[in-house]
Amino acid sequence: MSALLRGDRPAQASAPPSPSSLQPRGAGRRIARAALGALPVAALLLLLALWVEGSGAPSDRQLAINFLVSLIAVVGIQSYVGTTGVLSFGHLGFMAVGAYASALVTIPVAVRTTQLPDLPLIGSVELGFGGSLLVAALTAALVTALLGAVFARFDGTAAVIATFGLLQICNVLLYGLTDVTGGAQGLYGVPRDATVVVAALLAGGAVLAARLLRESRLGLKLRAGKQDQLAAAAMGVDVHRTRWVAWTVSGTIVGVAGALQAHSLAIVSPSSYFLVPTFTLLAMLIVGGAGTVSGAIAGAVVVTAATQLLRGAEDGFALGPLHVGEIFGATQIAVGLLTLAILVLRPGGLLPERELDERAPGAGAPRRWLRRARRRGAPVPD
Amino acid sequence: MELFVQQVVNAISLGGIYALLAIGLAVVFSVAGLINIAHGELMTIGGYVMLALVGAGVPWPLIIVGIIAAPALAAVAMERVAFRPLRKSGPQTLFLSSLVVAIVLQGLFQSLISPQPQGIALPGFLDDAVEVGGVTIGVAAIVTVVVVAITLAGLVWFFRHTTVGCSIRAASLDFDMVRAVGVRANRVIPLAFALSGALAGVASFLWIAQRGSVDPLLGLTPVLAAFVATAVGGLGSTAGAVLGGFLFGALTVFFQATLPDGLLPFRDVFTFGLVIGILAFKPRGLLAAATGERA
Repeated sequence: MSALLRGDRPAQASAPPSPSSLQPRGAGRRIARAALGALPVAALLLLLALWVEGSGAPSDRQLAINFLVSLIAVVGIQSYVGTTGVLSFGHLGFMAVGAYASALVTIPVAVRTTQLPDLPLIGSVELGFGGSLLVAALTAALVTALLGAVFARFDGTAAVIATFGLLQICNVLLYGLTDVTGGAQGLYGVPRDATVVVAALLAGGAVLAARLLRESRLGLKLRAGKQDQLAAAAMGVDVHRTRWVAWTVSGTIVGVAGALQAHSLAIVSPSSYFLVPTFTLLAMLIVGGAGTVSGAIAGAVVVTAATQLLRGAEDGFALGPLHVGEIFGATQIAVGLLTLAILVLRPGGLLPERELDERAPGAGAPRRWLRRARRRGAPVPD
Repeated sequence: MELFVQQVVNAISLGGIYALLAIGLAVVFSVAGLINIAHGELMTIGGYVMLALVGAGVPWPLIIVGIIAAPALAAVAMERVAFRPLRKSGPQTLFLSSLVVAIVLQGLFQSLISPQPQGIALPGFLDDAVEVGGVTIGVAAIVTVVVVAITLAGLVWFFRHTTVGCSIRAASLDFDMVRAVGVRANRVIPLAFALSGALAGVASFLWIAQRGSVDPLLGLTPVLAAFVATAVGGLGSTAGAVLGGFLFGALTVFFQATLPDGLLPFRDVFTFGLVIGILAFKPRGLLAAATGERA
C-alpha cells in the first residue's frame, strides 16, 4: 500500500472485551470525538458564509459556493479513499447523478418539457431545493449502493482501472441518454436556490458525516482493513461489506455536492463530470492528505486559493495575445505541478495521519478533558 | 461475407493499435510497477511531431523516425522527472503522478499549440481502397495490420534475442535479482520507458493515418482502451497485453457492428461494462504475470 494512502494511526482494534454495558459509552466517546473535530470546522465555515453572504459581491458568493461544493465533494471522496486506501476515479459519476437528479426535479415544468419532451417517469413533478437535495441524496445512495456491490470489492490496481472504466461509462451515458440528460448541451434553467449559508451548512454536515464515519466502529474496521486486509479479516472484519457501506456513504455525500453545484450554476453539463474535474478534486485530496478529513478540507482550501491567485495574476497579465484556453490550461498546469511537488516531497499530503484536532497543541485541551472523563468512567485505560 | 471480412480487418487493425499501446503499458508496469496514464500523451506528442515535420516538408522516412524517437525521448524524460523520485512509493502514488503528468501535458498542448484539432496532410494512398479476392479493404487498415505484425515480430525478436530485451524481461520477473547480477536499474527502467514510448509513437502514426488530425486529447481514448486491455490480459504480462488489446478491439468492432442504431452511442458502456465484469471475477486478469504485483 502506498505511503500516500497509508497514513493512519493504528486502528484501535483492542476494544476491551466488554460486557454490553460498556458499548454505549464507547460509542458516545467516538461520537464526541467526531463532533469535537467537525463542529469547529462547521462553525468556522458558517461564520465565513454569513460574512460573505452579508458583505460579499455576487462573484465572491459564487466563488464561496464553488469552494464549498469542492469541499463537500473532496470530503465525500475522502470518506471512501481515505478510510479504505483504495483509489476511486469514478466518484465524479456520482456527483453527476446528484446534479442531474436534483436538476430534473426542480427545473420548472414548462422549461423542462421544451428541453426534454421525451423525459420518462417524472411527469409534472416539480420540487423545491430542499426536496431536490433529498432526491439527489437518495438517488446517489441507490446508484452507489448498487454499483458498490461490484466496485467496492476492487483493490489496488484493479480498482484504479475499474473505476476509470466507470467514469468513462458515466460520461458516455451523460452524452448518450439525451432524453434524460440533454446530451452534450446538458440541462439549463435549474433554479439558483443555493446560497452560501445553505452550502456552508451542507459542508458542515458533510464534514460531520465523514468524521462520524471515520471515528465510528465501522470506521475502525475500515481502517483495520486498510492497514492489513488479511489480518482484519482474521479478526472478524468483513472487509468487503464495510467498504461497501463506506462506498455508499461516500457516493451519497458526493451526490449532494453535485446537487448543490447544479443549483448554484443553474446548468449541468457532462463535461463538468469527467477527467479534469476528477483530477482537480483528487489533487485537493492529495495535496491535503487523503488519510484525514482535515486533510481533505486543507486540500480544498489550498488548491482553491492557488487557483484563485493564479487567475488573479493572469487577469493582470492578459495584455498580450492571450485567450481563454490558455488561462484554463495554465491553472491546470499549476495545480498539476503543485500536486506533483506534494507527491514527491510530502507523499502523505499536508495532514497525512492525524486529524487537525488530534495534533494542534491548543486542541489538546478537549482531548485531555475527554481522557479524564474516560478515566473517571472506564476502569480499563486504553 | 464481404462485410464480415471487412469487420475482421477492422477488428485486427483496431485491436493491433490497442495491443501496441497495451504492450508499452505492460512493459513499464512490469519493470517499474506503474500504470502510466500519461502514455496517451506520448501518443499525442508523436502526433504533434508528425504535424510539425509534415508541415516542414521533411521526407516521410525521416518523419517516421521522428514519430518514433520523440515519444521515446519524452517517455525517458517523464521517467526521470515524475517517476524516479517516487520509485519507492506504491503503485497508486505512481499512478496519480502519471495522471498529473498527463493533465499538465494536456494543458501545455492546449496553451502552446491549440485546443482545436489540427489536420495533417497524409500521403494520398492511405485514403484509397484495394480489392483483395473480391473484398474492398481500406489501405490504411492494411498498412495498420502489416505494421502491427512487423512490430510484434520485431518485439518477439527483441525480447528473446537481445541483451537489452532479456534484461527487461528478467527485470519484470525479479528486479532485485537482476540488479544483483549487475544490471543497473537506472538503465533498465529508462529503456523500458523508451520502448513504451516508441510503441506509442508507432500507434500514434497508425491512429492518425486513419483519422488525419491531431488534438490535445488524441491519446486519451485509445489509451483508456489499452489500459483496460492490459488489465484484462493480465497486468505486466506482454502476452496478456496483446491478447487484451485484440480482444478489446474485437469487442469494440463487434458491438459497433451488431448493436441496434439506438444503442450505438452506448457502445463503450457495453465494452467497458463487459471488461469490468471480467475484472470482477479475475481481478488479476486473464493471463496474470507470473510474479504478480510488485506492490
